[in-house]
Parts: sequence; structure tokens; C-alpha cells
Amino acid sequence: MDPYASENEQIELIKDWWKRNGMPILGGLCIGLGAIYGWRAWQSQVSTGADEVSTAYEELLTHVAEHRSESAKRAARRLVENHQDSQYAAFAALMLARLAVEAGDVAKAMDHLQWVLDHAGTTPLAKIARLRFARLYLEERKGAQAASVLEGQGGAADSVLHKETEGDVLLAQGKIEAARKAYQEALEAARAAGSDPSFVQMKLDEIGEAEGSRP
Amino acid sequence: MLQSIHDRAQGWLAWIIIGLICIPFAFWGIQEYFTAAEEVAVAEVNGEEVELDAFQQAYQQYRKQYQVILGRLSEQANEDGLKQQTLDQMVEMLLKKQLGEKLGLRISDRQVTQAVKALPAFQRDGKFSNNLYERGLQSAGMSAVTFEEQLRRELLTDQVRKAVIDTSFVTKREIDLVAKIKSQTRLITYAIIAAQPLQSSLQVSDEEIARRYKDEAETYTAPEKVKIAYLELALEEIAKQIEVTPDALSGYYGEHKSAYTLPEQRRARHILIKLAKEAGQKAVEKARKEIEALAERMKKGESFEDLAAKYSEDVGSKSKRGDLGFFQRGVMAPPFEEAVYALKPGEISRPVRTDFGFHLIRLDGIREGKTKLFEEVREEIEKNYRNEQAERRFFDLSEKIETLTYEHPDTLDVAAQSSGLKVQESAYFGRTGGEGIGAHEKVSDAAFSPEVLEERLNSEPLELGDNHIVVIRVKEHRTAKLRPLNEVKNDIKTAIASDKAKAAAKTQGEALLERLQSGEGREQLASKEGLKWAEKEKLGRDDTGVDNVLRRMAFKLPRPNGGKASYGGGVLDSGDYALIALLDVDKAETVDVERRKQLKDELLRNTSNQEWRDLMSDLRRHADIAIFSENL
Repeated sequence: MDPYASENEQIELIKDWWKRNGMPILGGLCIGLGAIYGWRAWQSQVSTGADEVSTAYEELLTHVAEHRSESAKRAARRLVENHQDSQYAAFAALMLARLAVEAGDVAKAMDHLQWVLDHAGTTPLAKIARLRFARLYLEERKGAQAASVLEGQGGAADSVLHKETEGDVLLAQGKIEAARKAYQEALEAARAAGSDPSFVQMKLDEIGEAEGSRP
Repeated sequence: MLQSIHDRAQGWLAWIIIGLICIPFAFWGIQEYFTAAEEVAVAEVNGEEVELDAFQQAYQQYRKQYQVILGRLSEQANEDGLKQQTLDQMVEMLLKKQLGEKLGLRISDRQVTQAVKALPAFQRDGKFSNNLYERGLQSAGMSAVTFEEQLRRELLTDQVRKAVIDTSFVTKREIDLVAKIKSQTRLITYAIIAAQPLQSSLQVSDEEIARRYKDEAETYTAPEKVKIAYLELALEEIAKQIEVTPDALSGYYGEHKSAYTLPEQRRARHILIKLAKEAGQKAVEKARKEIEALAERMKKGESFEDLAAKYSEDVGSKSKRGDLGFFQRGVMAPPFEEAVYALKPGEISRPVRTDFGFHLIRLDGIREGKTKLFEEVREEIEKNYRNEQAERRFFDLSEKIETLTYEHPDTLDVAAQSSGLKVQESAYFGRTGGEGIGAHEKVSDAAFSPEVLEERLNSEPLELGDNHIVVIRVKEHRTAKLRPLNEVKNDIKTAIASDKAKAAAKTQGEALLERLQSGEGREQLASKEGLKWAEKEKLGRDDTGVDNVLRRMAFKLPRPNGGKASYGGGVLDSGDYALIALLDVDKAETVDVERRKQLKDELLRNTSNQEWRDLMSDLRRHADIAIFSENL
């Protein structure tokens, strides 16, 4: 700015500047504030929704813990129907599957698990659902289908329960030698993970250790 | 150039720049620009750091828990191992949290608040107390924000965990399979080749003894021990020494007469017409009329008891026809009491007003007050007198001892002389305690603390109980020392002989097993080798009547094939060798409902835990985990 300009001139200059730039500045502020407000509002919208689902899920757990299976089923179904995009819906479907198994309806349980598989994507929960799915096939005496589900489960192949289920399937199919191998692998995995191996050990004992391993 | 920016800033560019500048504030509060300097990380999990501060806090907490569980063993607990475990838990916690976030789980503020309120630690009489909460946070050195954030995290991971554990199931066939195996019984016969009898025929050379003495020096080392000197002050002991004179006792009796006196008691009966404390004029008049009517009827000869049973509005005494039993002064409302004490036995009062309403009262009996005679309570008086005197002495002496043992940290004698106590000595004891005074954990802990053991200072006064303290100092310290060979020679010899005998039993047993497996008959072998077969019918998996190892072998053996027994053998815990023949496997008869339910629960627990563990190890495998142990 011109250092020799008088005070009046300076005020004039500022006024002039504001005339030219005032609108853009105010406009910019509006955009900024609008963005802040919009973002916050959107976030709180999203989180209130999620909070509600979370609370609904807690309620479902309470129903189950207190053995109110009818209320539990209703609560779970509401979660599944109204919040399809939320993982809480998948949790609820897992719960519905358990309740169906307890009620002796294996086919229905499998439907619920199928829903989880369709909606849970590639999360670790999908792996759990798939393994349960295989166990239910076995329950229905469909060993071949159970085996193929297990085979599709590449990533969890070193899980203890996966190996044990594999053993169960092979045993049901009469493949004793292969079942023994699967149980042995399950036993090793359980020991490595510090899990309780007693049930696997029992199953293995029952079919006897391989002749070759005998002293 | 500035000019060109200036020119352009007048138009659309200015709008955009200002808009852009505003946006960050929408995402990050201003406080983000002021956060403290860089934190040191001890681990990184998928790009998220475990900070040193948090780690240390968790470690301290973990250590405390560990100490509570293992008590005194904590001294020996391996610090590095604990640190590793803590870190491991923190990594796992992070993995769970990240999974929860990835799944889009959320815990609302309301859920956190509810959880805080539900914590029993912050409840008084079943209700949440803000006071307790604040105090609890303070003692944990945590702010409410941090605590609630931690809690939120726990709730979040709990949701994931429950999504696995609580939805887990076991199927009918799975239960059947396990139930069938578990309830099966087996018919076995077994023979024991005992190790002990073989021992006498074995030789142990001096070289062998010398070698073991060297190899297992630790076994033959006497542990570190101390002998302590201590001053013990106990109220009980002081009380015994208090001098008691008849004068002192009767003086005490005089001072405390009220404690040995039963006050006068009176028995009364009443009729109540209820009236609120702040009742208006009209209601008062109405009640007064009622009660006066009753008084009138009594004058005409109706019995107090009958009228009380019929008209009294005091629920408690109405059923007892107005009787209140014996009571002493200070129990009833003052106007009531005055009236009772103004009456003669059998006399009925005028209507009396109390906070409850109007009463008519009749005095039914007087039990005179009575002071117990000195002779009757002499023993009690003596005991109380002794205790009272001793307490005073105890506090004087304990203060004196505390001061003098602190001011003269190298000796107990000064405190002993001044307090008239004797310095006593303990027997030797180790870090885990011993007999007598050494049996107290506080004593052994203090005796081996650096100040007392290494610097040879007096300990602080240790409270061993109510009004019972002791101050200790180490008198002698025996470091761990290898015991001389001739002192332990016999022990070593026996140990070696026993080992050799076990080995011999095993060799013998294995040879016999081979003969059985290659077809030699059981009975034939028995008569040739002097074995004795013992049969066990219906052996169950959980039968405790049979040696554990033997039972486990019995259930591992392959099923007998075409009537041919299957043979096995192994070393029992006792060191004896057992030969075992599995003769038959009984299928389980029906499993009873209760047992099946038990098995189902057990299997479900096992399955759900396994699912969760599998999930965790899967997460771990796919995670990017870096541990910076140099920062630990």
C-alpha cells in the first residue's frame, strides 16, 4: 500500500477492496460452514442409526441369555429385515440359526446361515458360518456336500475346529485312515494353540492310533 | 507475481480457497493441532500403535492381578514373561477392536453410561454412586474420558465375541457321538511289574553318586535362610501382665456401674386412636371424642383388653389386646412415657396425645431396676479392666517402639529396654516362610526385603493382627549352600537305585509285551514269569478306581479283533510298568438325560471357545504385527 496515502485514502482503499472481494469471502465462508454443518449432521445421522442397531443387538443377546426364545427370534428377525446392510443383521442371522438348531430345525438353520454367507462378505464371520454350514450338512447325513463346503474353506484349513470337522466328515464316510490323519492334525493344532484337546483326543482314541505309530 | 495472485483472488479462486481452508475444521477439532509430542510405541498392529504409557499401565494392572492370584510366588514371577503376556493381550485387544470397527459396530454413549452404572464396584446398596465412581477413577489414576473410552472398547469387542460364542451350537449327532464314546466301558486285564523289588539286586557305584551330585546340585542345595531377632507387642500379652488390685476393680465397677445395671422396666397396655401430626382442629376433636367415649365405657365396667382388641388402631398391639410388654425409659414417645411413669399399677391414664394420635394407657406391671452386684460380675470387670488398661499401654508402647526402632535402625535393644520387652529370636526360615513367627507372610516378606536383609536395618512395625505388632531385624543369614556329599550320599544312592529299578521294570515289561504281541498266551506267560493278571470289568473313562495312566491306555488301545485281545503297556506314575490287555468293548447303554445335558454343555463350551480361538488366530495370521521389544 502507498505509504504516503492519508488515513482517509486508506479507508477508501479498504472500502474499495471490500467492495470487490467481500462477496467472494462471504460466499467462501458460507460454503465452509455449510460443509462443516452438513458433515456433522450426516455423521450424527449415521451414528444414531448404528447406535440403535447396536442397542437392538444387545437386547437380542439379553433375550437369549434369559431363555426367552420367542422374543429372541422376533428381535433377531427385526434386525435381519430392517438392517440388511449392517453386520448386526448377520449376527442376528447367526443367532436365528442357533435357535433353529436348538429347536431341531436343521433346514431352517441352514437357510439362516446361507443368508449370513450371502451378506457377510469376506469377514472372518463368514468363515465361521461356513464351517457351521458344513456341520449341518453332516447332521443331515450329506457327507459329500459337507466335504465340499470344507474344501472351499481354504483360509481356515489350519483351524482346530475345521480339522476336527473334517475328521468327523471322513469318519461318517467310513474313511478311517483319512479321518485319523485329520484328527491328528486337529490335535496338533489344538496343542499349538493351547486349546483343550480332550474331545479330539477322545475321538482319535476311539478309532485307535495308526498301526504304524505303535511301539 | 503477487499482483497476479491478488488479481485472481478477486474472483472464483478466492471462493474455492476459502472453502478448502474451512473443510479441515469440519473433520478435526482445533485440539488436534496441539497434541503432545510423539509417543513411544511398543507394538504396531495393522498400522495402529500400542503406546508405551498404555502398555505400562496395563502391565502394572496385570501384575497386580497376578500377585493376587499367586500371592507370594509373585517375587519369582518372570517379569519378561509377564510383559510378553501383557503385550500379547494388548495386541489381541487391538485385533478384536479393529475387527469390531471393520464390521461397523458401534457402542453409543448411552450404552457406555449404562455399563458404567451397572458396574458393581461403583454401586452402593445396589445403586450407582457417582461418589464411588469418582473415587474409583482417582485411585486408578484415570480420567473419566479415558475410562469410558476403555469401557467402550471392551463393550465393542464383547459384541464381536458374543456374535461368535453366543450363536454357537452343537448338533444332536455331535452330542450323540461324544456321548457314545464317553459312556462306553471296557473290559481289561492287567499285570504290574513292580519296580521296588528289583531295587535290592541293583548296584550303585560311587562314580554314579558323584555324577548325580554334580548334575543335580540344585536338588542337594539347602535354600537360603534367615534367623531374625524381633520385638513383639500384643495386647493380649500386656493384658495378662496388668496388675489388678481389689481397689482398682471396685473403682472401675463404680465408674462403669451403668454397664452393669438393668434399668427399671414397665409393662403397659394401650388403645390408640390414630391422628396425623398436623391434623386440623376438627379431626382432633373427633378423635378426642372417640377416645373419651372409650374411657367412658371403661368407667362403666367394660374391660380395657376387649376394647383394645376391638377399637385400637395400633396394628402391632391390637392383636395382643393392647399389650406392649416390658420396656424401659427412652423407648416410647416422651408424652407416652411420662404418662406411664406417672401411673400406679392398674391405673388408667387420661387421653394422651403423641405424634401417633390419642392413647389410653394402663400400667400393668413394674420390674424394678437392678444393679448387678460386684461379686456377680467380678470376672467380667476384671477382663474389661485389664483390656482397658492394656490398650492404653499398647498404644504408648507401640509408639515408643516405632520411634526408637526407627531412630536406632541398627538395634532393637534401645526399644526393648525402654519398653520393657524382651528381644526374641526365631528359628531359621526361608523366603516362603517357616515355623513360629516366620509363618507370618508379612514377617518373611519383610525379612527378605532389601532394607532388612541387605542393609540390615530394622523393619517397620508389621501388623500381624488387631493390636499385635512386631519389629524385626535379621540376625543371621545363610545363603543357599550345596550340602556336603556325605550328608546326602544315602539320598542320592536311593534315588539312583529307584531310577535304575524303574528302568529295569520297563525293559522287562517291554520284552514281555513283545512276547504277548507275537502270540504267546497270557496265562502261559504269567506262570512262566510269575505275573498276576487282574481283571477290571466295565471300566469307564472317568473311573477313579484305576490308575490314571492305566485307564488312559485302556481307552487308547484298538478294539480287540475277532476275539483276540489287543495288548499294550506303559510306565505308571509310580514307576511300575503295567501290561494291559483289552478284552472287550461294551457299547454304551442308553445315556441318561442328565448326563447327556452335561455333555452337551461341555461340548458347547468347547466348540464355542474353539470357534473364537480359531477366529483370533486367523486374525493374527492375517494381521501386520510389529513388536518393538527394545522399547519395552
